[in-house]
Amino acid sequence: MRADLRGITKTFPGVVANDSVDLTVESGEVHALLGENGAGKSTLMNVLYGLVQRDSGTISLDGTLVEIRRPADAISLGIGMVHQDFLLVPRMTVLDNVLVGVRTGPGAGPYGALDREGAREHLQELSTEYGLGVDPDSRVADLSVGEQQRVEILKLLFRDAHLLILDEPTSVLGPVESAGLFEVIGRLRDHGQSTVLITHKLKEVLTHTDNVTVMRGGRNVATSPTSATSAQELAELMVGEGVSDQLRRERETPAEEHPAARADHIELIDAAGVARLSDVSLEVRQGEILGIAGVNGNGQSELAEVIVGLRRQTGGRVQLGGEEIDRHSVSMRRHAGVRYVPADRRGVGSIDALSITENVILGSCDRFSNRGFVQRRDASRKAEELIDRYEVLTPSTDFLAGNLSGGNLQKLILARELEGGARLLVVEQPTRGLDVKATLRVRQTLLDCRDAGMGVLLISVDLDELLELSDRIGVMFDGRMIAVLPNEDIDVRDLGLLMAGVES
Amino acid sequence: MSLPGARRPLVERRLTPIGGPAFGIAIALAAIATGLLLGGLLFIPFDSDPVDGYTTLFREGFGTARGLGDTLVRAAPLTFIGLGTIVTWRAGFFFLGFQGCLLMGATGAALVALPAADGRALSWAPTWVLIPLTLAAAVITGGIWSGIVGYLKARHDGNEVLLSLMMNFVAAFLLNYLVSGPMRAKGALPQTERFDESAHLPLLLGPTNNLHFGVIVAAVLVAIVAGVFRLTMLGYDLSAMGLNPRAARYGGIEITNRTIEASVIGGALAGLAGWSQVLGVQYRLLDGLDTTTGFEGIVAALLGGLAPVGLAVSSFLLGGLSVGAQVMQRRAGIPASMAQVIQGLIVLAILASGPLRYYKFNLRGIIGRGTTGSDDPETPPVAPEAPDGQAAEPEQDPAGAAARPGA
Repeated sequence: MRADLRGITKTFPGVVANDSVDLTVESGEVHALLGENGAGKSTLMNVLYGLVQRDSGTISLDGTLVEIRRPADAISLGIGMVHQDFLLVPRMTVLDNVLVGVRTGPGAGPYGALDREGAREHLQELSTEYGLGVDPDSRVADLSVGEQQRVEILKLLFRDAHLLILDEPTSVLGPVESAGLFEVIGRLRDHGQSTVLITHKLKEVLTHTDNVTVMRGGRNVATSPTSATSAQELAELMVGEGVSDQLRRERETPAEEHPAARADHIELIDAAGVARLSDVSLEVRQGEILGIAGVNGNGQSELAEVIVGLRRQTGGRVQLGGEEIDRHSVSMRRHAGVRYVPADRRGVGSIDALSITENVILGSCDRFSNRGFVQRRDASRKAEELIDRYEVLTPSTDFLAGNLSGGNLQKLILARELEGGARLLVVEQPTRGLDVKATLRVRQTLLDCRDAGMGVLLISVDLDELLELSDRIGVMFDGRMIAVLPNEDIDVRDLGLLMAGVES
Repeated sequence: MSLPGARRPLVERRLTPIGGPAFGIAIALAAIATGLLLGGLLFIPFDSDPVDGYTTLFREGFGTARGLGDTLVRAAPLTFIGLGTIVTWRAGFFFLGFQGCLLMGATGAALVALPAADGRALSWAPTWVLIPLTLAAAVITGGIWSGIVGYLKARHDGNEVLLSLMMNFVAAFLLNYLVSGPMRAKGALPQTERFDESAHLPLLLGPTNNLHFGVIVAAVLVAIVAGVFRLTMLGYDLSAMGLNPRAARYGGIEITNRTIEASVIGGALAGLAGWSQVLGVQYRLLDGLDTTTGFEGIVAALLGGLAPVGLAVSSFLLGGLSVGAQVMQRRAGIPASMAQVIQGLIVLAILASGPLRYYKFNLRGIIGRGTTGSDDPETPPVAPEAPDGQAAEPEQDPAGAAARPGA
């Protein structure tokens, strides 16, 4: 299916999200929609999918003007979208998930009843045809993230979609699963389906797409065949200036032998009796970044939570600078210098209904408390200082943290965590969803922490990030630390295999 | 093919939910208006004019010194309960056992007040000694009663809603047992003896006005609770826990301990409601001392937006409503339960206001559609600059803008 968007404009109060954007997606192509956060990619696709009403502009499919006011319209016209957060019911089977909301076509029996047998057959056919390898009768809760994503794609194919929009599909996948996804996308192309890939990862664009459109500041700044462009050119178009990827990596002082922190034989068995961590040992030296690689959900978050005291391990010991901290509460560990930047910035790392100043108080209660009274003025002064030093863009310190952009919020959290004698910094997915400039800033800050002699435990699913920053890289799989490698001449493919649990 | 373009729907989702004090006040006022409007229907079976009825009601509640005194006396226990609600609910601990705390606080106060009678252990004590003693007793018994629930919730993950509601029954029957047995005075009724005058809360404006000392305590506590939330680490921790427990835990706030603290403080405040009722109004402990205040106080807190000052205002309004309704019952035979119906309606209106934070109505779009006639397929689209001059400016008139040819 060929889609033409012409002159799409959408303004939100104070922001022009799309400014007269033209976009053509040819039949049977994989089209990359590339841009930083806030460039307007998602808005444009939400307009096409009927989630957002445009102010002006037209949409036509195969040359016919169409009106799309809600997702149901888009679906009936053959447009489907897979969001970053999957919309699946975990306790239901794949088949039942696919059948949710089906009223016509395959799967719909007479008188509004469901034709489950017919649907199962059709689903099986589609799954085989596109090589999705999904069993219609397995429960979604038992599927991996990659499989769940394929269920979402299957849902669209079941509804006869010819134009599939995938919003940052690889952000939740490891390298092996990503490769699998692109195989599926390739087969979609072979069958004549059009795919729009929303992304900000250049590598994916260059290796897996036919055409690429770069958006910046709500405008389409370039569309060209992928083969006619380069990573450098795309990056410049995306950022709008010569990319200054000037991370100062080289260290001023070598890492010391003294460990900043160590964990010995950590074991964590959850309430359901499932082992989340088995015999995990690690040592973060002072002035070192220890990277932890692994596909999401292999115990990395649990490990971080054990170290900072949010979870109690069922076995093993945690030490900070030679001192046992197993019995320390979260606030005692914080006081002793254990700091944490969690993966979920808005759900855990900050309180969105409180101001920046009040969020600066979070986690450093002892510093802004005097006989039980909050030293608001001190906190506000500190907040101002941090905003200045870390270039957090905000109108004032009274601004609600929930209204900060992801990058600014992350800078604020990182700044707060580094205050007042940090010795061990645990960071999880520090740059996920951040734009290029904020990413650079956050990474430089981590390197600066290393140079200042802190121990940094960097947990990330972004291999490039790990390879760029870490001194050593540990790989976690199924709750175990299956390898720790010095970051010299690491072959990414080996790393990928380790992450998939293949120990060489 | 003509394209209608993006016409705004009648109900539209807001980009960012609105909130803040101004919105809260607007909602509270609108809810009160809705409650009074619908409640006005209740006057009709009594051949009474709602306007006259409300005029009388408000004059009795707020218009005379005596009425104002009664209103404040009624507002005091509502304020104590409401403060308890603010402390617990803002910490994310949805305690509903204030009624039990009230009864236990009343019992505690009575245990100190009864020995003040002649010839008993505390007969020597003057009022200024008895007031702090009774107050402490009520705070302790109320705090223990709710602390049990807080402890079970914080340490053993009990369900605070179920536990606290059940504890209300336990408290009511315990009181019934005490006044029917161990504490019962001679006579036909299940009640204690009347307290000695020295244990009564002093009347502030002489014997003709019921205004008593408990009202001052309520006012002071409003200021203290407001200060705690504004100025102290305890207030910060409680707010943070309520807004985002995961972030609070991440920040090192000891949620378990703070939950127990919040529950004890909340129950202690609610215990004072019982204190002001037995020592300021009833002057004795009796079965069925109170059945509703523990819940009406929650209503007052919600109406006041879970803010201490807002609570003071709403307690005053609700207090006046029930005082006025009681006078009307005596005079015109209109049941005083009417005040509770109106209260219920106000609560329903507030509960129904939630979606207004997230959605807005495009009433102008509807009106605009009518004037441009774009709904009628027979009528050709009329430009916004229609000769009748009724159409609004294009940017305020999405339907009109949408009807422009070739949009």
